Amino acid sequence: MDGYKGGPKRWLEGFYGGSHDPGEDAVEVRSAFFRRFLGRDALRVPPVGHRLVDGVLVARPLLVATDLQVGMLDAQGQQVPGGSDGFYDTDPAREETLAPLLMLLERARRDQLVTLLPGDQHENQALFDREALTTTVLDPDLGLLSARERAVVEARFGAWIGKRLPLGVWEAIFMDPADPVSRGQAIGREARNFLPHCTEGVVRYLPDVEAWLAAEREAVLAQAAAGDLVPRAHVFPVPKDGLTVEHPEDARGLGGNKFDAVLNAAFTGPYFQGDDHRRDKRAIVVGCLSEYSVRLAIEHLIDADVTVIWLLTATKGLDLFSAKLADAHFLRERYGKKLVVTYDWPVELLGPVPPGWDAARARVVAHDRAAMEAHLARLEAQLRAGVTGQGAPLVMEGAPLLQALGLAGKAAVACP
Amino acid sequence: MPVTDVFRTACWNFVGGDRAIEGILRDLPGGAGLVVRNRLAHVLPTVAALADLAALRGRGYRVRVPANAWYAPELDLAAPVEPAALPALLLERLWGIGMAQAPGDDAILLATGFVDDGGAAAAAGRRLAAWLAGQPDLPTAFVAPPGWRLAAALWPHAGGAWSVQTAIGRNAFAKPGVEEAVFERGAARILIAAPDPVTAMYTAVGAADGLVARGLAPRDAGARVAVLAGLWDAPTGGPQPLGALLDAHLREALGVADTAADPRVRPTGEGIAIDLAG
Repeated sequence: MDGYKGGPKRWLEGFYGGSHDPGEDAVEVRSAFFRRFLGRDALRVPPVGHRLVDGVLVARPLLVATDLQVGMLDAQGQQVPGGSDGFYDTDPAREETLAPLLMLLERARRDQLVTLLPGDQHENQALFDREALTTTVLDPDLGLLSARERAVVEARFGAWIGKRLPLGVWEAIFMDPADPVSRGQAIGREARNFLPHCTEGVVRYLPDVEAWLAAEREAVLAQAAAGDLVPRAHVFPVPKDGLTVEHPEDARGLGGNKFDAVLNAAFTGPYFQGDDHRRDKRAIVVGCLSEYSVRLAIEHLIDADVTVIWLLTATKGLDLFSAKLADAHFLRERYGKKLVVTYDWPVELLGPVPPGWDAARARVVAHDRAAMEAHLARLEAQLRAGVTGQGAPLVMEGAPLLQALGLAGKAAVACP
Repeated sequence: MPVTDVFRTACWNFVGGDRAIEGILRDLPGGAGLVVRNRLAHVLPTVAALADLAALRGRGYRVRVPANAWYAPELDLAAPVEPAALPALLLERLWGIGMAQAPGDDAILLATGFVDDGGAAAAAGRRLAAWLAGQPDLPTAFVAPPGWRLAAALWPHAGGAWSVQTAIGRNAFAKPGVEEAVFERGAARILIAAPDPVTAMYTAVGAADGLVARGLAPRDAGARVAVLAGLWDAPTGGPQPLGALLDAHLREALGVADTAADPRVRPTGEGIAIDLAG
């Protein structure tokens, strides 16, 4: 990078986010996901802009609302087959953070806040193309394969030795029909390591978010119909395929992290750099789940030198093995200079408190305190016993360690 | 003392394969001298890419392509050629890319440079719109320079387009977003449409480079790219030796400052050679 002669740095002030070029009013960002929801693949991302507060210009915040996706559960709490497999219950009576979340989204929509909507889009088994070539070449040294894999190759795929494997052949060799999770099929990492959820083509945004995106799509297409080559938008759905907002590029360095592209664009424009302006780079973070994507989005934004306002009132947690306030403590302890945590509606950043906020806030606070009390009791007991919530040992050694690492039954040998 | 970088790449120009040269060029002062030499199939798109880089970064170079420093075994430089035939001849002979009247099966159209200029580009846009009316199922990507509106005749087609975005320069594929959009479609063939032969030619070579970068041999890549014929007015003028037409192309279409032979340089190897401070 110009201006720094060492290794590449991602968020160097004056070069990346926080650039300033008089007259620049938007940055073009392209994503196939934009086409799906907003009708065009390339859109202009405006800077966050400012609002006047008591005669002083205050930079508006970027809103990052992660994984606002519906979870359709039956009366027993089980996923409805074929239904959207996100995490939000759309009944406000069962999800106390939903009402304040919708108040916030309504304000963002009305005031055209620049908004990022990262959403999990995990692998859907039906979308694998089994004729596509993988990056795996079948090595002539069959000794590198497991006994099961070697038997499969010797029986059926000897002709593929030395060749790049299509996914269907790769799957037949490397996926084990006896495996209880994969059942011999190509499978997404999340479904393999955790549980199937937020499946691409199945998961859907909350109805209010879909309505917002539909309205934004109309606005985008109206600009296009008037001849704008690359229309301007304010709300940007961004796919992610893991916990983090980072999205990997392909082998050509393409198709990668649109989250950061929008983030950069949002803090372009009148000075978001230097000691007198840096704190104007603010993002309000909400969504779900506090234990996973919310936490990682916050850490990513802090890494990008953005001051984060974590609005607990509009953030959902699982409450199974942690508590939102425990996560807040974890993050505040580590990033206290860049993170504020609050239940309060930030009037200076968002304008007047919406009707009903205070009551909704009180419900969330009560829920979170109860969840924290329950968590503290569990946590103390687990820490004292040296186990996780599932009763697994916290620190591993001996046979359980080898078992967890897939090394059970493999005798140690001296390295040459 | 010139510093020479030779890029041994399967791609036709460094933008397609090795973008490291961009970093080197970025550090050069404005007006820095460069000599580009070796095989013409590399020299032309490389010089075009240098001109595009200059337009993109607002920093130009003084590019020389000495007449004795390039070679083209595919071409008979003394043969008389109509100026109107030059683009098709170069596309076919140098890069194996054909002209086409129809998209063929499983194609995507990349239409670049059809801006509402009230002149030649808009007129070409009307021709393209008429052609597109007979291709209702053809996925299309539109590219135009920032600050321009698409030719009005194409607006109806942009509504449902696969991609619409901006890019600067002759080779639209130099913009990663264009490469991303076109290859995301996964079409077997790429058809290029442009309002002028220079834009068409270098964007087509950019498309071929994208395929080369994905593992195809250069000739196989060229066979999967075509340029849509009949969109621009053919230049007038009688036949001239191909060498003279190429010299004019280098100077007029690509902005090369000097094409005079230079006994101090000579072509070497098959890669792209760029002499910095040349």
